[in-house]
Formats: sequence, structure tokens, C-alpha cells
Amino acid sequence: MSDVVCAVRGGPGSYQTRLAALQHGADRDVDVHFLSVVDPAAYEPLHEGEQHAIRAEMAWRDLALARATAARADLTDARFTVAVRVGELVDTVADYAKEMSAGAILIGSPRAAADAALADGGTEHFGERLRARASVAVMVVGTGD
Amino acid sequence: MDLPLLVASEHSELLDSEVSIVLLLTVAAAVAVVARRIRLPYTVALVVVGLGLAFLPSTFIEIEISADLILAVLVPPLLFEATLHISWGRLRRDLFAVLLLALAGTLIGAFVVGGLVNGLVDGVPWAAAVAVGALISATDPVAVIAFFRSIGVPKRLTILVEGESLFNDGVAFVVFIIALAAAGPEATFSLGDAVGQFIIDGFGGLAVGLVLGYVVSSLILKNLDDHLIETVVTVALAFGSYLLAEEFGAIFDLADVHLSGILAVVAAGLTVGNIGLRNTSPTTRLTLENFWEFLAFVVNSLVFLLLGLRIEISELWDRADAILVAVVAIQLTRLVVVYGLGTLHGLIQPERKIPRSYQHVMFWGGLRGAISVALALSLVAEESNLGADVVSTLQVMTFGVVLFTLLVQGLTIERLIKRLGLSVRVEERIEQQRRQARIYAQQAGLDELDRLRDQGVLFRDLYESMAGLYRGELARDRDQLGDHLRRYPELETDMYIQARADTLRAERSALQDAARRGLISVDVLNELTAEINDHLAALEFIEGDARQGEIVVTEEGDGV
Repeated sequence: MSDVVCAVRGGPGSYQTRLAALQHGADRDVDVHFLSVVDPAAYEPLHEGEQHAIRAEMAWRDLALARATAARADLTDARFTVAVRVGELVDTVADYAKEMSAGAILIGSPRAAADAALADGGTEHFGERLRARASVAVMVVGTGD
Repeated sequence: MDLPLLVASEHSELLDSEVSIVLLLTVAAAVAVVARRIRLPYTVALVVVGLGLAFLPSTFIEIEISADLILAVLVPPLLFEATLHISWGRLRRDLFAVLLLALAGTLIGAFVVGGLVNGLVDGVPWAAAVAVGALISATDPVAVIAFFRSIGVPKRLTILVEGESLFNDGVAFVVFIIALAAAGPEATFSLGDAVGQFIIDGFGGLAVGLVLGYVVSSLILKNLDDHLIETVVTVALAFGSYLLAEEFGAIFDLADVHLSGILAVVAAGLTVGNIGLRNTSPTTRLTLENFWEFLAFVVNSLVFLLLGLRIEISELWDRADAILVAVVAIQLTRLVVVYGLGTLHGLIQPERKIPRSYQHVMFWGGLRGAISVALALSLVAEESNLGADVVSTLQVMTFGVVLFTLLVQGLTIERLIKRLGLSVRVEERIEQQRRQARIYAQQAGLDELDRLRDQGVLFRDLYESMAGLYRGELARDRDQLGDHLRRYPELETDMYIQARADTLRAERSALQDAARRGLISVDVLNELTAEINDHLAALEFIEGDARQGEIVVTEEGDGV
């Protein structure tokens, strides 16, 4: 079984995405690699100190929230790492999946579960682009009501 | 009006004005109470009551309205307060979009609305029509932001709306002044001169505000620890930056140079809000925020009520055709500006594309308010190049537009936001805060009990009994908070951001304390404080990023 990469933003719905990733990892006994991607257009104009602080704070947040999610869901054996990368979204997630030798990428969708399942069938162009670029399975978690 | 308590010899214009102001403030307070009770936006209630004041006898409230009173006294506090809360970290990420909307949007608005008004409304000359086009193109976010806060919308949307509004106030004012100068019977107009004046006005005004704001923030707010003096200094800055910019030519003997006072105030407020407030004590910050909130409330109220006194309600009906033209013109222009410039912006900066749902809110939420009204009130026939009829028409049109946007758009924007799915669970968030607050307060009570016991003021058995009760309540409330978070797990991110910001601020306070006690040098303090400030700014960045929504795709674009 290969590891899974989970791209998160930290917004509403990220809890469900994180939880699904940890559950997936625990069920298959694989590592989960949480990835936050920073938009370079917003990041690059900042000075070095701020850039460093953003990467550090994102890693802190992802680590703290992943630990809390795992503890709450009683998934204390789940193994995970966190990483922060700057770059174009699709390329960065795909490259990171390759770097981690991941067999799947998991992302959240603001739509409800049923819609997200349909989206996974190919209607969502982001998922499609990611799948084409990364050549691995892309799973979409519906995080809407 | 008669003042029975005063003897005749004590009557003076000053006292009459004072009585009028007291009456207006009383009305404003009453309106606020009623508006809160019936859950009506305050500015909407004010505009309705302002209309009602038009029925009062003209001698009931006597305040002489002059352009200087409006522009030099009432406008600066409104703008200064609005800029204090705008985070530069968030604004700069969307600065291009904000400036495009404010600059190009206001210019398009001024000329398109001006053209329609000039062509369709009798007696309004071209330059005066552009002036009215400029002043009714300036959006006012007060009412919309109040809705945003009550129902909770993404922070990026708030920044886009607030940022556009602040800068378009400045741009509208510069266009307004240039158009008015060209409106006189003997005035001549040169496009080259107007563009040159526009650039000097705008950038010069911003420079004045930035320099003064930086001096006040880095020299006074950073080094002084007295909330009263610091508040006074910000008052001097708000009015002083306006005056220095407006009187720049006269002060430095440069007769042809005029700088924008409005943009000077905007720049000064942004600088104080983003540099000055970071370097002050919590007491000063709280005092400054409360003071400016109060002043903005008073000024906002006065502007709307003064307009009510100026406009005869029958004039609104008599000039319904002109108002209709203005209302249609601003809607058409807003349509072009928001969707047209929004699409253009998406092509230039695809990674910062403004989602279509945001554009719908920006279109319908483009309310007009106090600044448009203030600029219209500053038109005094005797002081301007325009005749009394034209001044009256421009004021009535402005008030009609403000009335329409506040009553029609202001009362429906909430429904639109909810329908677009842009509101977040505010009630659940408030419930979370309520539960957190209970725990926080109970913990403080328990700490106080410990202190009383340690000082020997409280018998041990009584302490045990009381502390046991406290611990029981704390355990119950912690369980309830846990249940709440399990039910609404998305609230956890907010809780995390808040807690992380609190811990960073605690670290900063500890460093300041260490420096005061001589444990670390000022250089080390400054270095580490700057690091913590970067982390706090990073949290704002992250929060803004997260609020854009979770992952993936909509028709508006991608985003993790």
C-alpha cells in the first residue's frame, strides 16, 4: 500500500478532509502527508521574515489540528507528516505526491458528499487536472452540508 | 429657537448651534436604540429619520452648513476610523483589484453617470454632471460591513469591499474637485492639466498621510505609554493630515499645488492601524478603538441628519425623474465596473481572480452613504461656481441615490449573501465564544479563590467547598464546549487561530516585560518583537487564505 497526500487549506470543511485522510491512513496502515500550498503571487512580494513566519505558522497549524483530529477520532496510531510548499497548486500537489511516492491524493470539496462523489467521476476540472498531472488516484471528500 | 433658560444677552450663534447639536445627538441616540430593537441597519434608520427631520420648522435646528464644516471637520474622522481596522497584510494581496476598482471604477462611474445625467436631466452642465457622477460613485461599506459582521462572510470579500470603498472615496473627491473647478462660467478645461492635477493630488495626498502617519506611529505611539495623550495625537493626525494636504500649496508657497486631504487621511489611518496600533499597549489600543468608533458614530449620525435638514421632502418628489436617471445610471455603471473590471482583473491576475459570487455581492452591495452625502452637502451655492438650482438638483439626486441603495439594496443584501452560500455559521460561532467565555471567567474565579486561600483570608474547608463547586462547573462547561466542537468541527480552526494569536501576544508582552526589567537589551527586544509581529501577520495571511473555502473547484477557479 502507498502513502496518501492530503491537500488542506484550513478553512471550513478541512476537519472532514483531515479526518477522512487519517481514517484512510489508519485503515490501510499507510502514512498521511498533509500538504498546505501557498500561492506564490501573494507570498513572493512579502519580505523574508514574513515568508518564514507563514511557512512556520502553517506547519504549526496543520500539526496541531491533525493531532487534535486524530485524538478526537481515537486514531492515535495514525501516522502523519505536515509540509508547506509554495507554488502553483496542481503542479505543487502532484510533485509532492511523486516525492512522497504516494498512491493517492485526497482533497476536500465544498460541495455535499453526493455532489463530491459525482465530482470524483470526472466533472470537476481541478480533480481532472490533478489526476492527469500526478497520474495517481484523486479522492474528493464532500465537506458540504 | 428660544432658550428660556438663558437670558437674552447670553444668546449667541454658538449656543444656538450647541443646542442644535445636542438635539441631533439625542435624535441619533434614539434612532440607534430603535434600530437595534427592530434589527434595522443604523444607517438605513438614520436616512429615514433624516427625511423626517425635513418636516420640522427650519428654525428648530439651526446649524450653518458650510463646505469647510463638512470636508474639514466631518469627513476626516469617518475615513480615519474606517482605515484603522484594515489589515495591510490582507489588503496588499488584493491591492491590484482594489485599486483597479477604485481608480478605473470611479473614473468610469464619474464619466458614464455624468454623461447620462448631463444628457437626460435638464439644467445640469457637463462638469457639474461629472462632479455628481463622482460623488455618487463612491461606495460606502458601513451598512454592508455591518451585515457582513452579523452573518459572517469570507474576510477576503470584506477586504475587497472596504478597500475599494476607501480608495474610491479619495479618487471621487479628487475628480469632484477638478470637475467643480471646471464648472464655473469662466472656467477653462484642459485634459492634460486635469490628469496632472489628478496625479499630484492623489499621490501627494497619500505621501503626506504616509509620512505623518509613520512619524506618529513610530515616534509617539511606539515610545509613549499614555492612552490619553496617544488618543489626542491620533485626533491631531486625522485632522492635521487633511489640513496639511489641503493647505500644502499655501503653507509652502506653491500656489498651484493642491493635494488630496481625503487620501492623506486614508494613508495616515492605514499607517496608524498597521504600525502604530501594533506598538501600543492593550489599554491604548482599546481606548483608541473605542474613541474612534464613538467619533465615527457621532459624525455618521450628524451627516445623515444634516442632509435631512437640508433637503425638502417635496424636492425628492419634484425631482423624481432626475433621481431615477441617477439610480439607473449608477446601477448600469456598477454592472460594468464590477463584472467588466472583475473579468479584466481575472485575466491579468488569474491566481487572485475574484469569484463570481463575490462579484454579485460587490455589485448589489455597492451602497452609497455618508461620504457621498458629505460631498453633496459641501456644495454650497454661494461658495461654488454653480447656481442654486444646480446645487439643489445635485443634492437631491445624491440623496435619492443614497436612499435607494440603503433602502432597496441595503435591506436585500443579507438575503443575497445567504443565497450565495457566503455566510458562515455565526450563531454556532457565538455559542462557542459564549462557552469559552464561561470557562475563562470560571477559571479566573478559581484563581482568585486560590489567591484568597494563599493569603489566609479564606478558611481551608470553605475554600475546598467553593473550589469544588467551581471545578464541577468548569468540568461541565468544558464537556459542553467539547460536544459543541464535535458537532461543528469547522469552528476548531477559528479557535486555533485565536489561541495562537493570544499566545504570540503573550510572548510579545513577556519580551517587553523582560526589557523593562533590564533582562534583555532594546536591540534584542526589537529583533524578537519584529519576529513575533511577522508571525501575527502570518496568522492573518493564513486566516484570510483559509476563509476562501476548502479545496477544489468551482466554476470560479481552483483552490486548496
